[in-house]
Amino acid sequence: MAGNEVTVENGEHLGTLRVTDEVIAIIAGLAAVEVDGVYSMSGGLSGGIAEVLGIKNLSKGIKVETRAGKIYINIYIIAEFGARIPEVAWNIQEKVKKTVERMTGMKVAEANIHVQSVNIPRE
Amino acid sequence: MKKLRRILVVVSILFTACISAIGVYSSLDNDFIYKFGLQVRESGFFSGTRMGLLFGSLLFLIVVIAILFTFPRKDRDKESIRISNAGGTVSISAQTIESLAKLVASNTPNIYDIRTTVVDIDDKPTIEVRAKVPPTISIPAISAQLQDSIRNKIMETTGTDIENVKILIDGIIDSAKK
Repeated sequence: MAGNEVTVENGEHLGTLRVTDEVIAIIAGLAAVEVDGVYSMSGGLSGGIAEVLGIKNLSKGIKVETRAGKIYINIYIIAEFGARIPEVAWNIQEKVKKTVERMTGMKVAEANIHVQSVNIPRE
Repeated sequence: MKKLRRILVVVSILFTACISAIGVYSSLDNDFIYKFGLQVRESGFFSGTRMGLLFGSLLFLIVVIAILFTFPRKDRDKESIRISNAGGTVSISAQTIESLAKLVASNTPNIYDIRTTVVDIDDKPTIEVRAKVPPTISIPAISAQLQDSIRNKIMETTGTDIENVKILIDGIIDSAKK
């Protein structure tokens, strides 16, 4: 992720701004977990190891790709039971896009949501 | 399975850390391994069966870890419903559909030992529900109720219609034992 950087022109004479994919992932992750209907982010095996070892991973469940200057964000979530998934997904897409665009000044081309499972409440 | 995988990962990390610590320590003290071997031999604790058990257990652990990492988990990410919208795509995994179906089935009276599987997910998913029922109930009636509840819940949650809900009653349960 570290080698995949996006350059944003800050102005003709001001210089450039570089924001790494890792930073975009953290911004997206923090925005996504705030949406109602998201139980948690789904981090896979590496996220599981980090969690077991007590390492807080703010970009858990987020994969960022930059292709031809456009940002593609893949968001892996566990939904709350009872949540309407299409609505939740739309809210995440909106919130993540707005937050990333506001904080970085870069355009998000796609925010793809992957619902990995639902959290079943224990009786 | 998820918990077992985590436990094995932690065990393998601890195992690797121990081997690394021994490696570091023996690089500082050239005779460490030799002296340690002598001590073990002299103590007589690790002799015969115990030594065999120790090596057998270590070998078993290595084989389990190797299997765990060699055979990746079934890539269920590909088995998902995909919906496109203006913001990108939304994919809902087969596991999500199965969990919802299982929860609906477990909230239905007189349905036990439930297993749910998404058997086909091409356009609209088909779900297979295997369950056991008590001997006193009408199977067609409860099947219809279950099919209806599962279809409605999945439609309500995911916005996707279900192609087919297949019910397979694979046993009769003694209602006194449940």
